Amino acid sequence: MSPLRQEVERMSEANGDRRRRFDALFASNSSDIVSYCSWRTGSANDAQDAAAEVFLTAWRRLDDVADGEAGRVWLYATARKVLANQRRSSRRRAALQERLTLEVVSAVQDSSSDSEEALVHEALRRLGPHDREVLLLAEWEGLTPAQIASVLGCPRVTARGRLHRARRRFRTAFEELTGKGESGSPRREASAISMP
Amino acid sequence: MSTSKPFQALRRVNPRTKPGFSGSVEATHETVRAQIAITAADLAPTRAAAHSRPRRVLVGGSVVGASLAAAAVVAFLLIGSPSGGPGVQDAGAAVRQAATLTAASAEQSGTAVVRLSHNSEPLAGTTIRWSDGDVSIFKDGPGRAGKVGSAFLVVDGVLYGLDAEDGGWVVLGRPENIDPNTGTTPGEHLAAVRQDIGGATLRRIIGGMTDLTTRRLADGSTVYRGTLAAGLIARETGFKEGRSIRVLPFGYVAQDEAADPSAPLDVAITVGPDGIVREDVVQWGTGGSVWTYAVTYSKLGKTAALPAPANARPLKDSLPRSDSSNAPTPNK
Repeated sequence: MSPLRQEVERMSEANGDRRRRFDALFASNSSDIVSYCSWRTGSANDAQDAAAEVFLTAWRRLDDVADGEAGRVWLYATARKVLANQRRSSRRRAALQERLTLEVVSAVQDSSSDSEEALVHEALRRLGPHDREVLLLAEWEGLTPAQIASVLGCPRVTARGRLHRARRRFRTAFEELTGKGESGSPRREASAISMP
Repeated sequence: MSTSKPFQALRRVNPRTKPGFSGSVEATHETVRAQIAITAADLAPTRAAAHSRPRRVLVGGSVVGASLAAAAVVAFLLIGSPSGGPGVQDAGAAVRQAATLTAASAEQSGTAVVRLSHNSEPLAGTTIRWSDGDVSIFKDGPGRAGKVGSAFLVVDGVLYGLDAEDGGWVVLGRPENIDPNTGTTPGEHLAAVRQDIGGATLRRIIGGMTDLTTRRLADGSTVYRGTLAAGLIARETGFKEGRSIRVLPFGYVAQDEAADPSAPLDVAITVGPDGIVREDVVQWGTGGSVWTYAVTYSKLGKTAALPAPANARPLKDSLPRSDSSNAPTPNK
């Protein structure tokens, strides 16, 4: 057996448990993290890059990642940091991307501006970025206020309060757009989900 | 959880419900696999770093490190994917694994021979050797009638060129004397070569291949054949006389059909029994005009250190001396 092959087998055996644990973490959470990165970046390619970086970080720091729900929250918190770093390091590119995203979303919504989806996106656009994030972590990612607090790095009571306000503001915005709110007429502006 | 209409509507537009979402997850899966394999390779050389020579500032590591790096990648790939699937599921997965393994194996050193031919007549060729942070690029081809081909060499961060007149080496300078971000520093040259050897270029080619078929050879190698849009291999680099210029890896201009980014080119990638890419062959054209572009890899991780050329002379000694009769007359 060649020395290379021996080294391969030795490393394979030594790392087997680690691989299996990572496999389980990836299989359980990849959809969640890709989804989160998708609506945070507005770009499938950037979302894939960010999600890959999150799992690469998890691979490197696997001993720090808890099993189960705690591990899931750890991944969301890491994803949030990865996205923040990406945004800081490529602010100019992000600005361009945001502009392009606006144009794309605008073009899409011009053809289906009465759709429920367009209304939802417009209502989201009317929220502040912090409201939007906490709302979507709850509604799209299914996190509890306690888990959101862990992801955002704030006290639980703060997360709960933010979520309550975000829900109220979203409901108001949506009902305004559908004509059920106080200010009436639906608006058909372009929207994009952007985060700070 | 609120169940009112706004929130029901909000949940219905969850990105998970969008077409293509599962494709994004799968793409992430592939990226993570490749990156973890490369990371394993990155970690391995650190064990041998103490033995590497300090001058290797561009890459670092050693042949031992490269072997361990390749071993780390092989180990990961043999165990399989993060989702627990088998290591090699189909031809596409197998050839992607080969790209990853080749990139890791080429990390430290290697040799690549590039040949461009038209109707089986060789037109141009380049031989590239790299070892640690050093690289040599020799360009040659038929029709030089004994003239020296162009050559470029970087050893210990110093650039050398070949004097076409007498075939002697000329010291072109140290990296600090070369403008950064011009694409001409040793690091930039090496980065471009490494990208074309086993990095992004090979992954782009393999990732874009369609209609993949496989054929086993008697020596245990496997040939993966498919088609590839020309634009994925021949990148647009600028315009000339109103037409975009496309170049193949290692700088050869894409001719005829290959200049059309949507044209399907025939690609054959040969992977050795060790799982490392041996050769890429790209072919296009019909009937009387068939172009072949081939890159052959060898000695990946095993190419010897490149020696600095003996008796290289300073550049100023090679420059034509001013003829005093043509020199401008100083103002008096």
